[in-house]
Amino acid sequence: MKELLIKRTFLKQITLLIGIVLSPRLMAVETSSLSEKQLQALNLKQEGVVLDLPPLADTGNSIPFSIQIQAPGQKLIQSFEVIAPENPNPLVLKVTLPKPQSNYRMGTRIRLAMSQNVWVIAQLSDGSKISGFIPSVVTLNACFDATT
Amino acid sequence: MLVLTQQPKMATLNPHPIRINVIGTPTIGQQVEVKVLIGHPMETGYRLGDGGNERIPKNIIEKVSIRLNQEVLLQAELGTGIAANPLFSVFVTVLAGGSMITVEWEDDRGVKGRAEKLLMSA
Repeated sequence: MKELLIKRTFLKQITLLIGIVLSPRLMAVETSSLSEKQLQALNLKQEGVVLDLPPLADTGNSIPFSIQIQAPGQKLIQSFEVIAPENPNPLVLKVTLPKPQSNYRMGTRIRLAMSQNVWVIAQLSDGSKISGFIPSVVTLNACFDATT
Repeated sequence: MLVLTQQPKMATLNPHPIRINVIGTPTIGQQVEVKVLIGHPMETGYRLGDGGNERIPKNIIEKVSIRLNQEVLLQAELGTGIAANPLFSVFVTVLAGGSMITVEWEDDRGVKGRAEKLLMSA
């Protein structure tokens, strides 16, 4: 009985250890395939990201989207991702800045499968992340999977 | 009766034209917006053809880079969520004299495109 208990605590400790080792890596890699709820559950700082997207889009085929990121304090932006959680392929765009900058501005046109929040998650030079999201209502959808 | 034996030609012979436009007057030290439009279908692979049976194969641009001389303005990996004929606008601080804007892209079939435009300060 005692042996069994020791074995059990050992197993618990091992799984805990593995969890501790793996969790930051999983967090770092998987943001691009998270759902809306999971993205909100990450509780990332909502500051410094200004997004512009029409609140109502007649078609999801081509929606103008502009991003303006200002890193807080002395931090610099290393890269950022644009994520549309309800799209079949949620990672819309991944931009890397070979020379980290304190602010960055760009614009593009995106596809949305349905009404959703579009997220931008920026990776800063000190390893922290800032995020922002903007909702859009799409009345005709695009980029949905018709083959399944 | 007219029978089309060839695909109707586009207005431009290049299937993947690139247009680079500068919005506003480039004044030294000021920022101007540079808009880059790349002609590409950006086929998602999620659409069906006219018959409703055949899947239209995926064909998207995967990498885009926009540079001003040697400085990288935009280096991005695209997904299926970018609209057909991708448009990117970046903001450039105008340098004295002429500087070269270079756009390069590569799609998932290995097709590459490149265009250059000289940005002259006013």
